[in-house]
Amino acid sequence: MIHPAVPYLLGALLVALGPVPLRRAVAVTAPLVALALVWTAPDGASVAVRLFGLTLVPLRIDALARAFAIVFTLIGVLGGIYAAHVPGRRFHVAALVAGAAGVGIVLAGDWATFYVAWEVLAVASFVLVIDGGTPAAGAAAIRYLLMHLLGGSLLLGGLAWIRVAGGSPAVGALEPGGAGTLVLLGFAVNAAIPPLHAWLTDAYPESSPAAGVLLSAFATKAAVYALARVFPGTELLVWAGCVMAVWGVVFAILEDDMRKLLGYHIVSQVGYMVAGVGLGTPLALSGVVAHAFCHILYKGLLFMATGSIVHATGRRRLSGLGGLARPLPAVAALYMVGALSISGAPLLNGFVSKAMIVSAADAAAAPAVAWLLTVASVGTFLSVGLKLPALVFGGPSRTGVASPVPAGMTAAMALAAALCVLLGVAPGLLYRLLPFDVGYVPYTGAHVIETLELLAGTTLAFVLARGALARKATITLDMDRVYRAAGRAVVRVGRGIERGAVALEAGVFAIVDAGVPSRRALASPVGYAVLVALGALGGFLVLVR
Amino acid sequence: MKLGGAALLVAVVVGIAGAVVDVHGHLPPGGYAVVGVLAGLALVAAAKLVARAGLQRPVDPPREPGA
Repeated sequence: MIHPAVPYLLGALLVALGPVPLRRAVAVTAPLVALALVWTAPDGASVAVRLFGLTLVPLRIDALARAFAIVFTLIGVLGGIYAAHVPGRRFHVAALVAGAAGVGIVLAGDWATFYVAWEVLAVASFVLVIDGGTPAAGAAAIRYLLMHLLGGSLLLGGLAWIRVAGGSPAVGALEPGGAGTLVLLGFAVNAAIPPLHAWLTDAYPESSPAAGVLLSAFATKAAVYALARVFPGTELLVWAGCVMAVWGVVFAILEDDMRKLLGYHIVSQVGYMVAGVGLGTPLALSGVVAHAFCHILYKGLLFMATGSIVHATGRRRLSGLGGLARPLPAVAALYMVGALSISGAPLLNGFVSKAMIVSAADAAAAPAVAWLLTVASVGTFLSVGLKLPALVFGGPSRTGVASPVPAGMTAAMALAAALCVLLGVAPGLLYRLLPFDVGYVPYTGAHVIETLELLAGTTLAFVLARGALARKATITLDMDRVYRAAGRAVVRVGRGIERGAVALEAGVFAIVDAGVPSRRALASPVGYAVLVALGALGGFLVLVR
Repeated sequence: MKLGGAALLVAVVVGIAGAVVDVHGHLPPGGYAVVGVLAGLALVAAAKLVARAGLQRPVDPPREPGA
């Protein structure tokens, strides 16, 4: 059996060596072949190889892995169509390698393969961010890499601990505590759980429009897969998920950069999934998989639509956009399909998947969780479904359309929108992919009426608060403010230690020059080092006192 | 205001429909519309508090050449 990462990697090789037309063809066909391989792989299939004395299991198919692998390859196909106009070799190679790493993570049956794929995804995503081609993209890419190296190091530490303690090499359930805590923290960085989320809203908006589509799919959803596989039923995750869901929408309401706004909604929507993993019931875990699947499609669509606007106008700030429904009607219509999907409107995929997690919270007698997720849903419609389209597509024109939207971009958006509708009207197609047969029925009278009431009430709130949501050219600092304060404190402490050491060094030399005590003792390397260390400690104590 | 009027109309019609056919979830008919209004306004207020706490600032002014 051929591993689905193989067509990706062969494609990357062809793209690296081949001419531009070949690149465009491979960008679509490689994920398409991988999708066919995942789709046709028999349940329970497994491939093991011996390497360096380790038994590696690069391929293990079960329902959880298959669902994630299918949607990763599906967004790869859509991303390839969307990026058909992109000639750059670097982008296509990084996109294909990221796709290979994504399926590599979800199909890995052992920790060693999982870890390698995890780190390859971090590096490929770093290249996708840097491909934005601006100094800001370069700086954000470095910060992205640093955060993911931190996450990868925590994960590696946890895995090494498991290995030393004689734990199982197979990717499977762990308990938080000891090695499990390190692994959980490593996953938390990728899942963008606050306060470890700033890399996401920092890096994704700086990437190119085509890269944003892929970035929005892989890193956080790979972490959701990992959490669902390794930490189902961990109660801490329920509350972490609720914080994420509300945190994301509050900052999205503030945000002026439309791609950053969508970044905050990744944090919020992944919050639903993290909470579902924490609940850990069959309905919740099926809801997690369903929501990850649907989220990748509608979030990909939203990033495609906003990327098309950036492509057409060169702008991404709400304060610099307006009146685009007239020159870009298809983009506006397709954006609204994504916006209503993420808001959970009936007949669209978000209606089906989001409700599964909220219902699971209700069924698990966790009404506070269900209400917090409902409030987050209000914030989602307020910012993605009302504020952003009102400011970008409505009102007077504020910018011209310099470049037409390429046909590939429009085709990819139309396909993504069609899938959002298809899974919304025929949820049975989605349910076949879920790990548990939970028999959830989304289209009940109560659910439809609740949702319509909630959407109408949110629209009223938007009208009432419209003045507070007006265009304003601002920058949101979020956790960056804390990082900056912490960074300044580290610099202050370092300078204090340096000053203390220098002062002590001068004192020591004065004593040595005076001949008291023995020159030999103090002038020896050890004696000198001890005194400098004492001086540094003294400086530190003086500083922190 | 047209948007607000339409939203109000939808909320009222759906609320009445829910009451007539006696189909509703945890809350009485129209309850989720009230939740939508209150939660929406609360989230906007929370966002404004976050902004006032210093987590939002104006965009950098354009730099002078050579600055």
